[in-house]
Amino acid sequence: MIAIYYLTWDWKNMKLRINGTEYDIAEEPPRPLLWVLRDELGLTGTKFGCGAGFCGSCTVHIDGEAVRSCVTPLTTVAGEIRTIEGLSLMAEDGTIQLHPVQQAFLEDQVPQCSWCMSGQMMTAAAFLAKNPAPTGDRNRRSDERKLLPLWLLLPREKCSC
Amino acid sequence: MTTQQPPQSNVKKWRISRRGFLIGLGATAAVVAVGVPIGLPRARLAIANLVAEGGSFGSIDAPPTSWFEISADNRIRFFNPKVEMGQGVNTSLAQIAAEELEVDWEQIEVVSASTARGINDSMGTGNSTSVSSTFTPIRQAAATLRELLRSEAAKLLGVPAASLTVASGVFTANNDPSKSITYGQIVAQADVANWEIPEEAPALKPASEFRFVGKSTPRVDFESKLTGKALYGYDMRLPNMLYGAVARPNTIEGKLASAAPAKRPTAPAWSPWWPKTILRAWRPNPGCKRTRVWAIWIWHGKTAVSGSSPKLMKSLRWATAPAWWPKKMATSAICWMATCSPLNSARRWPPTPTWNRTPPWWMCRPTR
Repeated sequence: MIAIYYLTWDWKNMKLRINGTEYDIAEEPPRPLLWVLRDELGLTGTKFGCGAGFCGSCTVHIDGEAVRSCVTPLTTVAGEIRTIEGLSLMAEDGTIQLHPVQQAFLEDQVPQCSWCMSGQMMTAAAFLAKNPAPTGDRNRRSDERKLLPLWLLLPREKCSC
Repeated sequence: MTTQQPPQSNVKKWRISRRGFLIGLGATAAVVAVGVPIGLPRARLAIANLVAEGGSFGSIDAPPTSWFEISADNRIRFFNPKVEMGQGVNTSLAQIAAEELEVDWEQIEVVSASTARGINDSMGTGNSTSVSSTFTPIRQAAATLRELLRSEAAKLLGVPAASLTVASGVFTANNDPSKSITYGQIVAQADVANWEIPEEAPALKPASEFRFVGKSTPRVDFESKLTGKALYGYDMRLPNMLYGAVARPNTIEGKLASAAPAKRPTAPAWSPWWPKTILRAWRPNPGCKRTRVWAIWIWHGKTAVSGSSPKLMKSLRWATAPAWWPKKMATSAICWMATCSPLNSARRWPPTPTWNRTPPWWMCRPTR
């Protein structure tokens, strides 16, 4: 089987659908999704933070799921990607319609430097899509606590400014 | 590689006034600017004053450290010499500028002044001095620009300058409200090259009339940050850009023994393992040059293995080699993994069928 796999192995281009636009991306060399977004496609709204999946600055949606793009190998991506550039909608008259999370961040004037803010908003948007009426009860995570290693229970987003 | 550049100034020619302000003229007209040198050494200011005696447009080829540009759509673009790093200097300096310019908050846009010609602001950004050091110069420059526009508006409307009131970037005649003209209209119509620059700095607004200074104001750059459009220094992608990285020793008190660029690996033109790639030249992905960083650092020093406490060892576990790996090789090999682009190592080691299908194992996290 392995031999057959080698025989058919080749460098390919893969299609990525990002914010409704389809891009043709070389599969090779293996690299994280974040590098493709920032360096090849110029979607620099998604930020590089720790590079290890800790801080959440690089969070994007893949089929609505919040994913840390700095630790997501490009070739494992299957599904529609949404980045911060695609979180707001462009109305027909050209005005930008902010996502409710963005609107809330705007009204509260949330951040300082805003470097990790796009990741925070993407995480919040994905969470709210699944939990439209969150209760804020932290005890509900007790089941998670039993299953997940300790480092996952650290605050999910880290702002260091 | 996608190249992204910050907004550029439209002003091509500068002329210096006796008061030390620089008046800018756009290459295609419809742009006028007033700038001020902030934090320039005294000697340069003295030279600037000499030039002012017979200055004409084009006699100064460098932009000032900070300036405003008014465009025909009645918007002000403020070129900020201070570095915005979350402290809100874009907003606070824009508040100061909007105060004397008599414009609405929505009309102001702040961009970083270019450093293409060197350091803009010899005072730097720090020590909480941005507002205190630029408060008066920015107000003076803004008031000068406003008065320049006022005298031109008076000419265009055919009324005395003193009879004009200004609000939201629009001059209106006191005795005839139907006579009004916006900053943008003035800039589009006026003969900017022959504008009369006020010899005296205009009087500044008293603090009791402040509308923005000292008031809570929404961040001027927030909307672009909300939508991911704001460009940080780390987002800049310029042609032929060089990249640097910090190489850290994987040993305690390690010292750099040597550092050399490694030969860029090339794939064989053909390979018995991959018939589809026979006679196929190495085809690097043109968009991915940045990831092709190859270098080898070799460190000499105490190894992390000996003389370390179990607790420390635990924290360094991620950087230690597998037990079967010869210790001498471990130093350079692991360091290479940690400091170079490990994802390129697919070419260094025998590829496995699932190599690029599974999360790479070297994306490990430090244990805490």
